[in-house]
Amino acid sequence: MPFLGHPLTAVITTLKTITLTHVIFTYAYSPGLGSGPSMLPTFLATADWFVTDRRFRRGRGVSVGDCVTYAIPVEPGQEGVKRVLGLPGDYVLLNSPPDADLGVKGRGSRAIATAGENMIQVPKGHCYIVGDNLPWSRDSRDFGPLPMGLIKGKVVAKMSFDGWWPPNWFSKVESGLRSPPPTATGASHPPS
Amino acid sequence: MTPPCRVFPASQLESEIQVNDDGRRRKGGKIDLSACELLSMVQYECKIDHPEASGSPVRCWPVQRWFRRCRDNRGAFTVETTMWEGKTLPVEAEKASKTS
Repeated sequence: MPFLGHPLTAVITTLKTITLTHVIFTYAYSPGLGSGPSMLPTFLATADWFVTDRRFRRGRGVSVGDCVTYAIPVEPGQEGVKRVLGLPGDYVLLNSPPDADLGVKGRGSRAIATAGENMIQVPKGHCYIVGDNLPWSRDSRDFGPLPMGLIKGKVVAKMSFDGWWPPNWFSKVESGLRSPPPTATGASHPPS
Repeated sequence: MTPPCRVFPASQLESEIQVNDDGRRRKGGKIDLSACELLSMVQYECKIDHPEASGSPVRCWPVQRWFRRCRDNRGAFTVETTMWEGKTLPVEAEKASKTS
């Protein structure tokens, strides 16, 4: 095979490619495939590809509202995607807002209503993560605050392989936390 | 391992946020929640109509959550005010509709 040159050259080139890919996927960007109903409607339940920025690993530079990938503490070896609601020292509701819980579970139980009003301060070195689809997510509401060290990266984009132009495959994943628009409170009024 | 966390009812939020995560009183004066920047987050309750079918319609209802970004001498911190805002937001809404 003259076009590959010396066999050793081919081996070295292959090894270089593998190690370079490893470094990029571990320390820069990595693709991931997520499935499950916990992050609806941000991510589909069936399967959605996304890009993780690994520079945010161990929670460095993560802000409230970001989507992160993390090692699930109760499922060794598995990773999940959730939204950050609180960073060390922040204050969060321990459960979902009470209206949300009651709406879906429909039990009308006063115990759920009062439990929904409990709050905690996120301890040092931890964050509080919750899925976007509140009734169908297992997250900090079950296993408590997540150690920052288990954060693997921040989800920066979704991928959908439609069309032939690769830049069109990516759509940015925005922070969930935003300033309410000035008209938000009066949004129900039709413009005059 | 996560350390034990003290749980408090949302009604005590205003007094709880005066203390930082060291258990000491925050430096830089009393924190006034209503003076902190208001931020919004929308989460959802979604229902998959036919979970066994792959192309099943998904219906979602929004769940509004509110946050405030406050500052002390050490920097900014975020406070979820979903339960607390109920008392203040209608007033602000009234103000907004008057000015617009």
